[in-house]
Amino acid sequence: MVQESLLSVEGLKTHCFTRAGVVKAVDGVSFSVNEGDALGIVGESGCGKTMTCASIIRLVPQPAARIIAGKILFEGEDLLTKTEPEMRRIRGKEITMILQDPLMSLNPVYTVGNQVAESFKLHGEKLSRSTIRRKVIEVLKRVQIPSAEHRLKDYPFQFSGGMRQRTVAAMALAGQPRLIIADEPTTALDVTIQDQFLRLLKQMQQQTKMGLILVTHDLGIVAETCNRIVIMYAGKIVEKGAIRDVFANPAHPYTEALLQALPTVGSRGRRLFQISGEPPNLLNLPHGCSFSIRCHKVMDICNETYPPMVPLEGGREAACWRLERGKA
Amino acid sequence: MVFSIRKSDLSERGGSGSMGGPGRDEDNIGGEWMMRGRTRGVLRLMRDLPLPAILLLLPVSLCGVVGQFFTPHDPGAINPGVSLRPPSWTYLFGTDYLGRDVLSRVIVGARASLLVSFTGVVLAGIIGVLLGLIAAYFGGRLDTLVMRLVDIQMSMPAVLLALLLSASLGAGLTTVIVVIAIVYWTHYTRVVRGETLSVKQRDFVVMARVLGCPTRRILMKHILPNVIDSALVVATLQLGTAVMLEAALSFLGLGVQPPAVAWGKMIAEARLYISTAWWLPTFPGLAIVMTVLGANLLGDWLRDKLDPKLRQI
Repeated sequence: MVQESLLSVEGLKTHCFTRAGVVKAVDGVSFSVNEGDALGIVGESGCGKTMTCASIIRLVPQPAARIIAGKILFEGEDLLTKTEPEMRRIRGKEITMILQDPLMSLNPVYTVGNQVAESFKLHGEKLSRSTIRRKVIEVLKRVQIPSAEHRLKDYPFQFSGGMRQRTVAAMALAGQPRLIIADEPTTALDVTIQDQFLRLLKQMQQQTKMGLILVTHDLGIVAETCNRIVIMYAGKIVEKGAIRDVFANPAHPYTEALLQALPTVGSRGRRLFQISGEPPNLLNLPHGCSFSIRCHKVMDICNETYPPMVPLEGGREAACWRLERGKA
Repeated sequence: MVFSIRKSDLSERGGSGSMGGPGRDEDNIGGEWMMRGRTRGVLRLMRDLPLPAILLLLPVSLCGVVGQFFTPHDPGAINPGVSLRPPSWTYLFGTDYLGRDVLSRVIVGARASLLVSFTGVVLAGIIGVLLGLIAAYFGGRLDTLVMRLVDIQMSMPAVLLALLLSASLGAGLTTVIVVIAIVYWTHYTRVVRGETLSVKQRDFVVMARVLGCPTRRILMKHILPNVIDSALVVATLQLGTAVMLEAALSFLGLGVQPPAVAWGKMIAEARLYISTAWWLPTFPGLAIVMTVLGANLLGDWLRDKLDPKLRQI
């Protein structure tokens, strides 16, 4: 039984046109998210994770950046063919996004109650003020804001970081979306609050069966929250699959290196593993595989042509010549 | 309304981005606590009021609003028998060449000056702010177009413009208001455009778009309140300049027409008498100085109040 996926990105290409040249921020990315899935998109800064998200909800900063190819099928319909008014209806109602910095995500001159109410007003039919107020309190309680009724008149600066991020989540959930994209939602929070927030997200997701795309550079977060993972490097996907499989048995050398670089409990006193080289300059990518100059398993062909995506068992895929050639 | 809430909350809850201090988040007892905060905030606000500005502007505003009912003499009463009398107990500011009481005329003249400047500045503000918002938010060719308009406008001398407009629309109150609006809208546009460009990037605007907020609503609800502070500072500072422009136009005869009274016109009529009747140009002149100085001081105070707080948030 093939489950029709909630979101299916096929061959997405988003390029940025700068004076110094064309930056291929997203260069042929394909993945899918099913209902109830939590997909983690992981990679270094600049690998294209945020651009991918911006492309999905079509908020790429034009005219500098443009989606030039690909399909984004959301519940079967290609978002790239939709008009702006249609997209506006989808945004907030079907697909929403949570951003990184909770303080900046809230307008400082309006109360928290006002801003959450706004989300309801944008997507509900004409609701009475008391209904909206009730719904706002309800959703704030869902995201575990203590004494929600008394908090409505507070301003964002009166909330702590974790509470702000939860308020943002409340705003996102108001429209009852089918897909939430969270772009590094916990980077600005401290560790214990991070944990709380992620657990909240997971709970929301399980309750409503919505899809979650969690973009982060923290593998630990992904391991706890997601069931599938996509690893990006220099605008392309290098590996994707189910979390357990990928973490237990990484197929791509980059994934291997990332996992090796994680400090483990027993490694005290030992030198931390480091991936040699520097993050890629997107204006000057190496010939062939983008990871070739830093790869510890590089072969000759890696410097000539970019490897194809090799399907592996269990629905996994990785782009590496070693897999193509059968040597691992 | 935005200001009063923000100020009282900030001064009470120690706004430098602190989350209201340890423990305050959790032991919130709701309405009562907020009430105490607001009252304390209001009292603190009163301590910070710009006394000099108020002392200057309050009399002028009162004259403008109710002055006509409290003149010692009828400002229009022509009385050749007492013409060109220096200040005395009967005629505190003296009389002009037609025997009219200068004090009464100064009081009544406040109306025209204030009305014209205020309306003109508000009109300029509306036009300027809207254009600034649109130019910055939409960018591209619209932005270029608006900025070219600004350049063109700023290269035109105000008085020349006034002459042209008077010739086509006829001299009078409305013309002066229109001239003020046309001359001063550009100041708002520049300031608002800069602020909008920066506010546009902030995450809550992105969030609004992500949540599907339509553009008009984003502009009015999210961006405008965050840029209006600078526009207000510009407005108060311009009040003074507008009064001076109105006086200049009245001086040239392009402003209010007789029998209406305006300070600039009084000074114009007094040109011939500067050496013989010093009180004729002096008192209207002082009134103008008072108003402009008051407006400038108010503008400075407002800017000091608003800007640092803005940085804080």
